[in-house]
Amino acid sequence: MKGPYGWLFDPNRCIECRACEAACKQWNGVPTGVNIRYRRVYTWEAGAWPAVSVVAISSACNHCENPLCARACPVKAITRRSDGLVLVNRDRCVGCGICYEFCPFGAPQYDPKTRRMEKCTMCADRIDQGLEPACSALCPTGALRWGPWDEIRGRGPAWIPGYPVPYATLPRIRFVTTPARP
Amino acid sequence: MALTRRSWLRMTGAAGLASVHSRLLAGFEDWFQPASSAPGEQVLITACGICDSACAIRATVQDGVVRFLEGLPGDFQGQGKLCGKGAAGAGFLYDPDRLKYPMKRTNPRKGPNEDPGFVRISWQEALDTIADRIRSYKSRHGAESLLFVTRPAPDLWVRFMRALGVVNRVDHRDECFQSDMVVQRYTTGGKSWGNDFENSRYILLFGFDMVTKTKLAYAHGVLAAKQRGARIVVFNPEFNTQARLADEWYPIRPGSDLAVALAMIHVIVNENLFNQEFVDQFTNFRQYEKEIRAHFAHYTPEWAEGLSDVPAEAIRRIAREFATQGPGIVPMHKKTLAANYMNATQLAHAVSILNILAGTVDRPGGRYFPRTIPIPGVDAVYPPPAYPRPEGRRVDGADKLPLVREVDSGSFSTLADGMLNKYPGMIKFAFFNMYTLLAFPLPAQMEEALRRVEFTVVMDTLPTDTALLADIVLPSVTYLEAADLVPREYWAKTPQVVVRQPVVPAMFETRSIGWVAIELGKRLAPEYFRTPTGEWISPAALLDEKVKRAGLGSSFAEFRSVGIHTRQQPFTPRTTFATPSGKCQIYVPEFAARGYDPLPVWKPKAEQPSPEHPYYYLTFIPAIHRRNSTQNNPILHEMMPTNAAIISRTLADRLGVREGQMVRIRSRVGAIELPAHITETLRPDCVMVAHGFGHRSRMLSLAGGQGVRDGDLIPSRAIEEFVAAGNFGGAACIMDAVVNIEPL
Amino acid sequence: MFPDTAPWFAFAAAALLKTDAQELFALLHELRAEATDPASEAWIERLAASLPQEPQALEKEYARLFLNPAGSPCSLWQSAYGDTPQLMGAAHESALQWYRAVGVQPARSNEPADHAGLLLMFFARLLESGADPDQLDRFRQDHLAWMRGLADCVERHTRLPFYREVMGLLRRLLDTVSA
Repeated sequence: MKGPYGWLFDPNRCIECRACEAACKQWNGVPTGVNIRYRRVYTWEAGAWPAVSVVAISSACNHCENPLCARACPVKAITRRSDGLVLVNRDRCVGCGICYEFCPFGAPQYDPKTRRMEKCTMCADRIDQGLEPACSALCPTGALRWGPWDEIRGRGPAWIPGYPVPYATLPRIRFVTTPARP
Repeated sequence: MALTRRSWLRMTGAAGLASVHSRLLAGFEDWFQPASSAPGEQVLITACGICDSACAIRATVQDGVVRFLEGLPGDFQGQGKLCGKGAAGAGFLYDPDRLKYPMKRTNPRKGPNEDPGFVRISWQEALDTIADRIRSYKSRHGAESLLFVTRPAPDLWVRFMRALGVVNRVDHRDECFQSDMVVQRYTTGGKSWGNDFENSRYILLFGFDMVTKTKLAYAHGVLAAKQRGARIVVFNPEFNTQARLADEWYPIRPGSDLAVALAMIHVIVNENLFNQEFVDQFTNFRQYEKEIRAHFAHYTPEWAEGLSDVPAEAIRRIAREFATQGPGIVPMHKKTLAANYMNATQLAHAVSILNILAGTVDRPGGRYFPRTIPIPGVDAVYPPPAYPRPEGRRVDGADKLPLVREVDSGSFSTLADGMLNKYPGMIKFAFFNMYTLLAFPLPAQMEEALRRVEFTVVMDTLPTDTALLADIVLPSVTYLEAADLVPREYWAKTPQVVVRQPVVPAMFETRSIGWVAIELGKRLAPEYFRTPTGEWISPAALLDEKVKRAGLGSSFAEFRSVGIHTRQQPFTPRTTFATPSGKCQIYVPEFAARGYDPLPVWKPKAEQPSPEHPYYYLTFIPAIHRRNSTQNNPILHEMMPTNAAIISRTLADRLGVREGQMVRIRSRVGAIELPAHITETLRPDCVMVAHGFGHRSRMLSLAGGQGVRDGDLIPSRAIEEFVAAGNFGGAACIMDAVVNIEPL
Repeated sequence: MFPDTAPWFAFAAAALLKTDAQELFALLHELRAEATDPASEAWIERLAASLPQEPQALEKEYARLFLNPAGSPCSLWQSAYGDTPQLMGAAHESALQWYRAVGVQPARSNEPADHAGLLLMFFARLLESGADPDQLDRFRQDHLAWMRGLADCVERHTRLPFYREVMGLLRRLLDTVSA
């Protein structure tokens, strides 16, 4: 499988089990207790009782086509790999936090101990072994899927209510909005 | 990095280990040995043990350390996946707070501010001491003086308890599925663990929240059903994750699911919408038709609307659709809201009747009995001498609920009352395995009861609040260090077994309860713990025998490398049922013979809102925690470190409460203080608190002191209440409380 | 003071691995035999004097501090002080690599390799064998520096003078080899 890659998220299938969050933490050894999460599941309530709707969205780095984080980084610590993965070089990073300001999705995470930024790598090490990222690998319901961007880009809108607006960075994520039934 | 081997040799002039010149430095040899080659990377198959969905796991282990956990494709229950709890499983194995060595208490005083003065002891000393105590109490006070707060598992442990003639074994099932188990024994012949959602066309959920709790074995089925166009109807006071998947959701009044179920039966029976073929052939409907029709005549949808807030026309329409647009299924399981009120037994009966009328009992799209590969237990492999008859009194009073005793069950919610009031001083010895005080309603009362027990043993993986009261603490293995054969039960149309094997050697001096059973058995009941050839039963040899006799291979070691075994066989629906009549029983004459209602009768929940306590108190298990055992896992703790008082915006506005503001919730038995969380998804007359928090501060470095105990507000019960209320299934009434709430 | 720190490190290790007061007393005797300056002798006197007399006092305090089912304030495993408080974390792996490089591993393979006592014992052996100063400093940074945090914790929570003295000794030793 060749890049670029993207995410396909179906909120109708998300049961908030947070296997995606836990798998990411476990695989990447992300520190706990310091509010660093490469991937987060959050819920968004709309309406008023009893006409209420709730959407759960799992969000990480979208390895955007136009990564403003990379453009804004003053020390060029963020670069894009040939397969589209947007990666941080932690040795170059100086922890200024500008990338966080430019990211619509809150993907960059600041580690107070190392004083560097880190974020979702789309499990580049797994991709290099021919595996999918840990998060989508564990998603029990298929709410979070990962694959070649060419196969995903036409599967739905780039935005659903509750998600940050995508137009500046062109995130490689699409949402399934047709209800999960024929 | 480090020292090179060559430079080390140059310095010491010996083969790696220098000769010593003092005892101080000779200590090195006590703690180090020559290095063996590193194991490298292995992928091992095992079964998750966090919940009974028991999803199969592929564990990646590098150099003896668990690196990653993921699902195993082909496993029927996880279907190749794990939930968030399962993915974080290494956190239990490597919890720095986990119990590591057996310990004994040196300060005899027990109380909230007493330091137990634990010292480390050997397993030998621990087991000898426990055996001496059991022997002494049993001979002086009889077997009834021994209390075992443990599950009826594994088979070795059950053997030990039976060999002793234990009278008082109790577990939490009254808080869970006990009423369903008691009822189904007589309505369909047994608890039907299987729910064939994927073939259902109409799924009716009374508070059933297996999707919210990420019981993958069931969650997959519900989603598959939705994918295929099945209709899902949810009755739940909260618009929860499960409700989001529903086509229709009704914010039902807490405790009134029974009214809706009775009204649905009324519609289906009155309008003759039931599955005639199934009903005529496989049920006792025709035999008791007159009684049945007469009984349900007045349970109209209009009547039910007044009690439940579900519109009558919806009840009527849903009943018709359920019966005619099936296969229809009404599952009932575990922390179902409905199972936790005083009328849970009646609800279990009504729900069973709905499934029977739909004709889907052990049929495609319905509740079915698991098909399993028979795995012989220890009693089949090594037949024991006759067990003594247990003689003595049930401290939890469950002897007053004979049908509960018939299924070898009891009552957590009446246990403290029994120990303190009914039979004070009777229990001299208590053994807790994998249960904490948080598992009980009104934990403080249970704590008081335990303080008065002369000798308490606590076996667990974690240092829980109960350990503070222990005389001896025994360190247990986690599921990642355990060995077993784990049949699929929740999804079991085709039999399948998964291995459970230690993915790393058991850490420190942790052991399994099965091993403890044998060791105590050697000391207390040796004649029950020898094989026919006279050696002591060994867990390893027992597993080998089980594997062979179940046709899974020639040894456990061999099955370990295979990991999973599926027996392809067609699903043959039952035509006779294990009830006394051999049919599905809608009207249950055996209930009548006991003085219970042979058909479910409307009864309200025990506690109703009053001016003093105007709100219903609901508790729930969040998706990323499991009961009260996961709150100290670093990944899971970070996702949800504490609990909150969840209230609706309407209620918050009325009380003048802001998001995050501290509030006090008070019931007739206690009060808790915690921050409010405001939502649009809950009935305005409800307050909801997550279970599993409020571990006491000194115990667990992450979970300690976090949150409050939901159980502090839940009344414990006396057995007489159950008898008077017709709660013959012994449902624990965990959700049956009403509260007041005030901002602080 | 501490002209030859190896035996002192070995003693600190023993104090965190053993709870037999008699044995620790005997080890102090050995240390005295090697002590040549008044400051060292004073340390030994204080340590010996602080050993508790009551039976099981040491076992109880050790369990209370480090193994307590009712809540251990202090952990003896380096990984517990890491990014994610866990056993068998990065510190365990690193310690194992150090041990393996000289052909050893912990005697108990089902327990973590980054126990403070094991690390101190290993360092004592490195010192005694005259290891390269760069190597020693590397090991100190990787696997001893964290023990100041352990010392903080023990000093805050212990009720026994002996463990307070041991932590004082540990700090002193760390200062000596950090110079």
